[in-house]
Amino acid sequence: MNWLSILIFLPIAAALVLLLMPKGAAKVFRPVAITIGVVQTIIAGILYVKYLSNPQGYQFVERYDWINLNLGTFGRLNIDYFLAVDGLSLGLLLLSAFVMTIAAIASSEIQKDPKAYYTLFLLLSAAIMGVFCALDFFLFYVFYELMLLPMYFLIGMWGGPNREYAAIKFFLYTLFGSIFMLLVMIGLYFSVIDPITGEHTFNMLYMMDAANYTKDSYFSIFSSDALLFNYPVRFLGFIVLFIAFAIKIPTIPLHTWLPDAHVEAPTPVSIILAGVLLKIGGYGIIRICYGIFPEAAIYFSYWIGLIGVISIIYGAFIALASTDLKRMIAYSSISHMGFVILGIASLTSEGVNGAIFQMISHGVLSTMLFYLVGVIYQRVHDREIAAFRGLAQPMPRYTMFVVIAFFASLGLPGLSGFIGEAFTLIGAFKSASVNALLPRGFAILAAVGILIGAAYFLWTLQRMFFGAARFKGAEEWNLKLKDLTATEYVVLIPLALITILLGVFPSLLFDASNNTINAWVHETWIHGIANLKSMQSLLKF
Amino acid sequence: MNITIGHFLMISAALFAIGFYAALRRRNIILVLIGIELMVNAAVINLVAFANVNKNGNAQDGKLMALFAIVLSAAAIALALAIVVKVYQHFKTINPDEVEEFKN
Amino acid sequence: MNQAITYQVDPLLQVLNVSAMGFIMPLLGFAFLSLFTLKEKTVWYVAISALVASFFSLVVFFKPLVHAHQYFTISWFQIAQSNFQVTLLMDDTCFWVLTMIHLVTLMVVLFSGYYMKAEQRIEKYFAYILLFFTAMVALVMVNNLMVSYIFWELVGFASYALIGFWRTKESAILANRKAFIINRIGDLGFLAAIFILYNQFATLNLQSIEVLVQQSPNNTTSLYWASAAILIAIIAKSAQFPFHVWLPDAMEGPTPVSALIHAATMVIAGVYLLLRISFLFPLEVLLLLKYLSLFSILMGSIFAMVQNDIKKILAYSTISQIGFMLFAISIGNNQLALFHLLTHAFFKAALFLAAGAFIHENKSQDIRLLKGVSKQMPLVFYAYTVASAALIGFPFTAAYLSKEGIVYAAFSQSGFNITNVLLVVSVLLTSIYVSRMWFHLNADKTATKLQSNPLAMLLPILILSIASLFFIFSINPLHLESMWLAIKLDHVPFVFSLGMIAMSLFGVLLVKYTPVILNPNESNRLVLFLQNGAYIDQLYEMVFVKPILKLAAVLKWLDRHVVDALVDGIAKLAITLAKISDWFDRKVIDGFVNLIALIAKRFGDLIRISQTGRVQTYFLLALMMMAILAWFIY
Repeated sequence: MNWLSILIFLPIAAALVLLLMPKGAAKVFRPVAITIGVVQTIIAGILYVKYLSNPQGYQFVERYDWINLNLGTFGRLNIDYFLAVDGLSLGLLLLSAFVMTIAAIASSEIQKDPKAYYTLFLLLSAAIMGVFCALDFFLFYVFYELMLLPMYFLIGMWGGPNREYAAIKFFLYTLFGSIFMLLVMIGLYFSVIDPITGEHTFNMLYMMDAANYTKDSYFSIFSSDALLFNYPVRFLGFIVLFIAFAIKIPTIPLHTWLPDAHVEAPTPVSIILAGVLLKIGGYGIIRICYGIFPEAAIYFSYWIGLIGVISIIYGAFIALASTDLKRMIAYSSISHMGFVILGIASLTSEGVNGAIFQMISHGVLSTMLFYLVGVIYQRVHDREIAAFRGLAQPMPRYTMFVVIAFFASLGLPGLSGFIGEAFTLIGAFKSASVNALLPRGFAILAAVGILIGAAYFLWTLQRMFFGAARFKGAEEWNLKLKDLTATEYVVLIPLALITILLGVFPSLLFDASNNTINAWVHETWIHGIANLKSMQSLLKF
Repeated sequence: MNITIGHFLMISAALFAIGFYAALRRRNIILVLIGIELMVNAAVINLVAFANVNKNGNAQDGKLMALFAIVLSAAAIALALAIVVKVYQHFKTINPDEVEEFKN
Repeated sequence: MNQAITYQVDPLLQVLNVSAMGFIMPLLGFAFLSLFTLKEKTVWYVAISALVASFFSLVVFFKPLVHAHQYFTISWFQIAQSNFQVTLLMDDTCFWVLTMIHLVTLMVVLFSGYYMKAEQRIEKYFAYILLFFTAMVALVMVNNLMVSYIFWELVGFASYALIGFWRTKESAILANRKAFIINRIGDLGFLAAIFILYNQFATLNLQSIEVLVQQSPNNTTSLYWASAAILIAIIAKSAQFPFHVWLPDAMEGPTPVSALIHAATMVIAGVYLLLRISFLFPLEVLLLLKYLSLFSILMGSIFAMVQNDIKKILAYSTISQIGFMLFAISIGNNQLALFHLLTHAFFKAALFLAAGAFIHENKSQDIRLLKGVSKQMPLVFYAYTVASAALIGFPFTAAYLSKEGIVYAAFSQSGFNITNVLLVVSVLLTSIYVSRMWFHLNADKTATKLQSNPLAMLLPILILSIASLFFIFSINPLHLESMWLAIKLDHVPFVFSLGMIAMSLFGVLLVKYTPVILNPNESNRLVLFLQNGAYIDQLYEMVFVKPILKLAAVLKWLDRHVVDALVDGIAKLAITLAKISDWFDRKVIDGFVNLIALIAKRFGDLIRISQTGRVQTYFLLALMMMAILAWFIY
């Protein structure tokens, strides 16, 4: 069975069906989207279970010729339809399918033009699945760009009052990154040769091997004069790709689109944004930046780690000062994704495993947090922290879920947030003695971020949920602030359960990722050091 | 006094000038048509006059051409008058200045 | 511990063992109570039966395993090449601390049936107690730092939830936030220690680390750092200076919670961890600990002397007593620390529960307003007196043995010096604040006796006060000759004991005949200073909290007005450029095209004049053309 193709094309087929339906059939749109999500989750779950039986290498491979054009003197244009997953992408794939299901359930608030909404939603779902499965750079890029378009419309059409500004900002930021990615991709294409056919190729796996680069191509480590602006081209390529993905994650100082996009986006779009899209940044850095340019990754790892640490602390501080609940959570996302960067930069198995765990855990937690914000916003159309006091009185069950989500986010052991943070930090700390990439101070500084994390979450809990009940909207709000509905339970209970489950049994994810990551860390290190040696002559600047 | 070709030509030229003036200046389209008819007649006088002068060829050629021209101009006038009737029915006037449909 | 044997039993048996240890029952109880809303009586029965089941398994399954010094290891997960395991340790220390925890928790839950009667959300209260209990039991048993850390934080979470149990009470929700955040600082120390040890030894199992430390004693630098880091965790959890500020505030929670968590069990987690990990500590760090704990002992007892809130007095007393335990460890006497830990738990829990009974019946926590309780509830007051005597360290109480032992050990180790003198002074100070409290509570002889004394109130207090007496631990009232505890103490000379007793008695008499001590002048600067805990709270607020919030606000401003403005600026610049090129396009390039078009148009207009639409004009033109044509031909 072509499981991965099914994962990708199922939502596209559903989107086509939706387009053919009359506008009057609006009632069935959401159930269709939910069903697709559930089916995708089940398929991803099956893949996960199958993978666990032998968690090695790439599996469920599908490889076909896709575009094969004769370009005369340029040779042949070869683009493969090449899908596969490994321990790195599998967990993220499962997370995405799950988060999309939750987002579909959370879409009940969408009233305007449901047909367009769900069509775009399903298109987005397909693109996300494709990004995590694609191993051909061109195919990856197609899915990567395909993601951008629905997202732009989902924010720009269904968002809050300032939605156009937010949508444009999101779009421009991402486009800025991806255009340069396109350049690097084309450069790589003309540098890399398929060892079997001897033709240029977009295959990422070939790009990862230094032996496949033609002798005097731009990105070849053997070419003696591969300098651009007096700088090795491979390093520039790495920087450009890193910026493209760092925008997605996002890291300081490329983060400013995120708070605006989150504040303006409707709840389900916020969920997708935080739950899935940010992870593509982390995934891209591991798979593409580090995979293709290991020597640059090693060379810059100090700076990458520094960016991670600054993101952690900076995000936490601004979350502490935020007055809007959604903005606070958006900045806490930046802080939490900083751990991902730090873990990757450590280039240790603990750090990278921790980073993947952190991405998945954050995916679940941010989904929960943004949904929880949506719950009160839907009731009273306000999310200023100062507008609420003693919410635990009218909404005790809601408060229980908030407490779970907050404590999981601030890294209470036994819940998922802790494992990811702890292992990225252990990795960062260990790095100094294993590969000497990061100073120990990074881990300690980042740990201060955990402390501030506890401060802002607890402060918010105390200000918004505890104390005597007092609301900005007085009596009117008292009536509106009802405890959770059945739908909201359906969303929140699985999320809370997964948080607890991952916290207690981290092996659920580590078992799938550990082998892949061990091999990945090993290869990145070996190739990186070997390439750095070959490039020695270029590094005199 | 001997009547020479020059006298015929002077009469026809005067006739043509009178017709030309009438065709351009009159405000009544019927009189414009009469002016045109005068110009045709001036041409016919010339034809007859030159027929008498020409001794080399067939002396009847010029007279035949004159007769042909008279018939043709009669037919043309009949057609023109029919148009004038139509124009009058449409515009309620036969003043050519007020009929500016050809513009644009 | 020297004959450690690691048993690898089959998984099913492991599971059985673990569940037998009584995690499962209280955990189920927690899940059950936190999910369902039940009747008050049912809730109480659920909690009690979960605890009894756990106690039963402790005695029946756990006790027989103790003498073998067993470790049970369960694989948890694997990262890189390291296998992370949950290792359960069963030895004497573990067993005794567990027994204490079970007993105190059981008593507190019993007492809560009386104290928390008719409270809202009572099922949540017991759920959190059970969660705390599970985490505490696990914390005592696990022998792996990573797993320890998990339960270390979970007990902190339970404490957070229980301090803030009355969620509408402003002071309580501020206190629980403070407690959690200050403990978080300690947790960072714990985490740092985990990093260092894992980095050094590639394992976090304590018994493996111990072996590795003994094998290669030359990696001292990392041991310095690790032990200093974990010291932060220990003094934060055990409320020692400078992290003690959360404990007096934590008294805003329900009194049984204070008895359980903030006197008998959770706050001693630091001491317990130190007992387990003290092999790591180099002498210099132990010396640091010695001074820190001595400072906490003195500070706690001095602050306790001027407080009027009975629970705050007890809280400061706890700080001081935990100081004694840490002091014992710092001078290398772990067994005494453990002994004092056990005796302290019983008498302090008894004191707190008795205080709870006083508070509950009189709706006040001020010792000056509780003056009639000796007549109001004589039985409770007797129990309270016994526990007080234990706190002072009078003979025939268990604490006499432990405290005297610690002071004597200090003297026999380093002789007559300033730290040891200060230790003796602190014994005097303890005697003073305890008797001050006692005299206050016994001041009014005219109060009426309470009609009913519910068993749920009386029984726990009496049991715990009896447990504070010597015969629980020793058959000899003046020296520890234990039937169960494998603790060996030096024989304290008779003269030394006499001196200690005289010192304590002196303290009592001093209070009796010095009204200034009994009722300190509240307008006195010094008294005010001490009553406010030396303004340490305010200092922290000024030095740490305010600057951090300020920094956060500044960063937020920067984010909005610099980083974001930069992006917006770039966007604006792009738009401005676009506008300029638009203007150029419109005015210059388009203008040129338009000019050409204009010329053509003007020319056309010129020609157009001839097109009058008049037949006669056309006629004229036609003739003119013919004339011109004719002129050209000839």
